[in-house]
Amino acid sequence: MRSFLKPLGTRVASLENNNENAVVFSGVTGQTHLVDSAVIDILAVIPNNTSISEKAILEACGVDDNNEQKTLLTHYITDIINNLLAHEIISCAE
Amino acid sequence: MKLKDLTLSDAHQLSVHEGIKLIIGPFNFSVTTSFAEVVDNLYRLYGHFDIVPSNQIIDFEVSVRRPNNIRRWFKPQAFFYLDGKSPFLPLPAAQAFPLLEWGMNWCIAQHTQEQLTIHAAVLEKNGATVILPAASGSGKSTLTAILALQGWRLLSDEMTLVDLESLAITPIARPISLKNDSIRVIKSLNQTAVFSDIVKDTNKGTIAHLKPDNHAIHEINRKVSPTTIVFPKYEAKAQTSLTKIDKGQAFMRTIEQCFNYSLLAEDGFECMEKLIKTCNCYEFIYSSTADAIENFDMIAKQAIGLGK
Repeated sequence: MRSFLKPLGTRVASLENNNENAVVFSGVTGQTHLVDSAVIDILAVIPNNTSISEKAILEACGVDDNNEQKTLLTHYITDIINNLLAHEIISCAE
Repeated sequence: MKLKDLTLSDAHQLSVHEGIKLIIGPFNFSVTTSFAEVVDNLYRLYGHFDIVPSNQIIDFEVSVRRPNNIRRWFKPQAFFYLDGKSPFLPLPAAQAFPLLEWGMNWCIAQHTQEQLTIHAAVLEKNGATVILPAASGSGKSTLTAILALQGWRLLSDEMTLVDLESLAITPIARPISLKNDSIRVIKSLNQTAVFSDIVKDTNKGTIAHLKPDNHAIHEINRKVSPTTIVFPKYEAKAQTSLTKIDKGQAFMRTIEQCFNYSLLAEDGFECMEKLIKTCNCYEFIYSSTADAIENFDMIAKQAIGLGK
């Protein structure tokens, strides 16, 4: 099971209410990306100083065995996590 | 004391060694040159700017000079220097004044790191401040000149300097750079507008610079707060449209036009976040001067809460 942390300097901003988009700044690359606003909730649960497991992120985002859409939500959040990793907005913990 | 308070002959003498020292918003420039036409154009376009008092520091010692080799006479060239070093390749001597203007833009863009610097015009009317970020060729300067001739206060044609904390915009109301057919369009709008000499065959085509009006120069130290961002695009024969755009898209489009966003890192991101949250953001496609004036008057009214 993977675990992740958020590098120092990473920032995310929601620019208006009820908007599907957010912008995120990578503290590693210095690049800015336009992302799905769900990223805000995911980044909120990933700490800077200690790592958090993928399972814990999924749980924090409301994915549990009782959730009827567990598979769909898991894929959705995993895709976002992979995207954040690819853009070096989050890092895999050693 | 203003440059126009000197005689043109005095300005020519100063330009040779001592330099013509001008206060341009927050920057003090000293210009020396061996080109008489540079002094003539400087005198015409910067006549209402203050001269730097002798006790003040010069920020940029710039110079436009002829080379010391055969190119002084054969296909003559002009070199731009900052502090004695030439950051660019030379241009044909006929482009000496545009070279000075472009060199001054470069000085400001390269050396302003305390503020977010956007490649954008900025104008203000009755408290509504509109930033126009745009790539070259979008019609930004033409639109800026149109609005400046319609009572909008010019803060800058080329660069918008945004304070990282307060978002206050620092005016640098220098001449507006016009290209090709837009020179004729702007001259037809106002017969009394003051232009530099027209210079043909530059990399950008035919170039002329429009003098900012005296109101813009008089108010050059009055900062303003941004209210609106408009991405302009001139398209011949297009139907005019003013469309509100998603703020995430506006954020990304604005950082594409920043000179120092990457250098500022998190500070740049946080400043841009505040700027985009503060402003209404639009895309504006236009082909007609009248439509541009009408739409911007509407934008101004909306920005200060008087619009529909």
